[in-house]
Amino acid sequence: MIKLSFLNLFRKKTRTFLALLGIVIGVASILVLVSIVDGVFKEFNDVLSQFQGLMVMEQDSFDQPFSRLDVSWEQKLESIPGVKGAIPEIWYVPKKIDDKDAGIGGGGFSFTGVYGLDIQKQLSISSTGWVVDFEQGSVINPGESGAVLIGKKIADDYHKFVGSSLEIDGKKYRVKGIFEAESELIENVIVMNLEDARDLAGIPSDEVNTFTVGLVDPSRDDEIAKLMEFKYGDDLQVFSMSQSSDLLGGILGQFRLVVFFVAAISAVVASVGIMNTILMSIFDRIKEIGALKAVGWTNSNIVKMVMYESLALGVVGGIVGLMVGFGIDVFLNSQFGLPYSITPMLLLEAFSFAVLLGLIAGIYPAFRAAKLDPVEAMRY
Amino acid sequence: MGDSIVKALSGVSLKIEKGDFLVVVGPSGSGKSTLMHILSALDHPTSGKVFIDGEDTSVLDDWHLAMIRRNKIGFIFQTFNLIPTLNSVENVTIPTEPMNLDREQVDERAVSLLKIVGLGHRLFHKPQELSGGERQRVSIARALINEPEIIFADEPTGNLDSVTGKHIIELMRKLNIEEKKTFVIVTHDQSLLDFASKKVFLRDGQIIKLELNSKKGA
Repeated sequence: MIKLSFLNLFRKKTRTFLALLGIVIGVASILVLVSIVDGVFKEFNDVLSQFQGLMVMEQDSFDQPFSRLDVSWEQKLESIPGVKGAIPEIWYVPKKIDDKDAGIGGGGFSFTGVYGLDIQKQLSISSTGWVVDFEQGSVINPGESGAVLIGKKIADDYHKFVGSSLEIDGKKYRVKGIFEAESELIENVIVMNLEDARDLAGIPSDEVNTFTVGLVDPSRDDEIAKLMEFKYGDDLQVFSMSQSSDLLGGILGQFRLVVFFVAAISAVVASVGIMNTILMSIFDRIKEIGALKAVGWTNSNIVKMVMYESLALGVVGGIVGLMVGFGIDVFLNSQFGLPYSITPMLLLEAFSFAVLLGLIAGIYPAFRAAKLDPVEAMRY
Repeated sequence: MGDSIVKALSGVSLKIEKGDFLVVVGPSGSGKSTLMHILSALDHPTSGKVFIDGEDTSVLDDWHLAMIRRNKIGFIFQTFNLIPTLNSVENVTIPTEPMNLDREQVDERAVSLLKIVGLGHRLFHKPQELSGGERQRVSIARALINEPEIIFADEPTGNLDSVTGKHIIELMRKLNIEEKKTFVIVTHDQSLLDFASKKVFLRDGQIIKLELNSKKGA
């Protein structure tokens, strides 16, 4: 019976192909969209895992560049037991790099950011900061003005080398070093001295955006974060990296769900296509179905036959959709650097969705077919 | 208009016995198709009773009727009603497909039936590769696959030329005599009466004449 169902699909190849196309697009879009969200999450997580210690931001500020903290917090934070040191930081999203528009929307999926920090402080707390590999050049010295470190992506995008000059919002800087990181997000950052960044961002000398707090024992991050929030919770918000990761995971988890649903809509549309295909194929075979019933097939035998057809579309569409989706992921990654993450779980989700749609789409046509009266059907 | 009841058959009483080769003739609209549908458990009579092997089929639901057709009845249709995507053997075995049988045995049986109907050389041909007569032979083999008590044929020669039609009816008669198969053939083709062991003449939903044929009886 399975063979018969399968052969039925080959009768009208164009029709079957179109129905398959619908489900392939549906499954592929689920896979691509969700795998990219997962990929972005993974990338963020990789970034976060490169930090150790705590991040301290102004209470109620939504992102680092919007946070404003008085420099006096540096001492207050350092007086907390277990804290090794607090590094004042400036975060800035530049408008122009050289003559090109930078910032959000300028550089593909990740935007270029300027990160200014007290380098002296950073060096004194070796456990803090980014783990980056220097490809070329060297670190900026404490107090060295006009020098920047740039990530490899910026170096590639703007064709910069050690010693090149780089213009940010009309101010000139010299590239002192180029670093590599696991994540493109980090490779899209320009690092400079705190004072330089302060000038660039227009932040007064008694303020910074955030502090990164280095800890004597990094594994106690959650504990010390809670202590800080207990003490200074009215003014500060404190993120341990493990917390941030959870928070980000939560937000992206919701986003993933939204994306899944959006993609699912296209798949549901595809299932209408399957239903139509199966219905048409049944109308073409009314006489045949009548004959099958005449020779002793029961209603449930007919239902089964039609459901197999519909299920076969779901299964084949699902498999092809996964392959197409994977191809699109690879393509987007190679062309636009979009990260993606495909887990067995995601494959299973997308595939089961296709199979489920196949089954659901088959129900109505199957019962229509089963309900046919054999005598009437054979007269058709 | 809305209230009028069309009576396709009325007052028909007919007994079919094992080994009969019964031919029902009548002009179109005489009710012969309806008679066949009711006799063969394809349809319920609005009133009256039909007994197959002592079982009253007029009171059975669709599922039980399907079981009766599956286990006790074979069908031969005017338009053959073969599945175009399947070859001869697969078409012959299609009634047994939902049954839990040893597929190998069923296939063997299909092959031997196809040989009996003279299609040993056409086992793996698709219907469109077969002539009309060959297709009807496939459907005869299909009608025999479930070892039915009785085989119903609805205008079996209707889509065939007269020579091929004659061969088909001769084959059915041969199966009737040699394999002791019971046949009920519904047709408007008077020439088939020559082969009948019992002749039923139908007109306006009533049997107007019932005749036994002694010279060719089984």
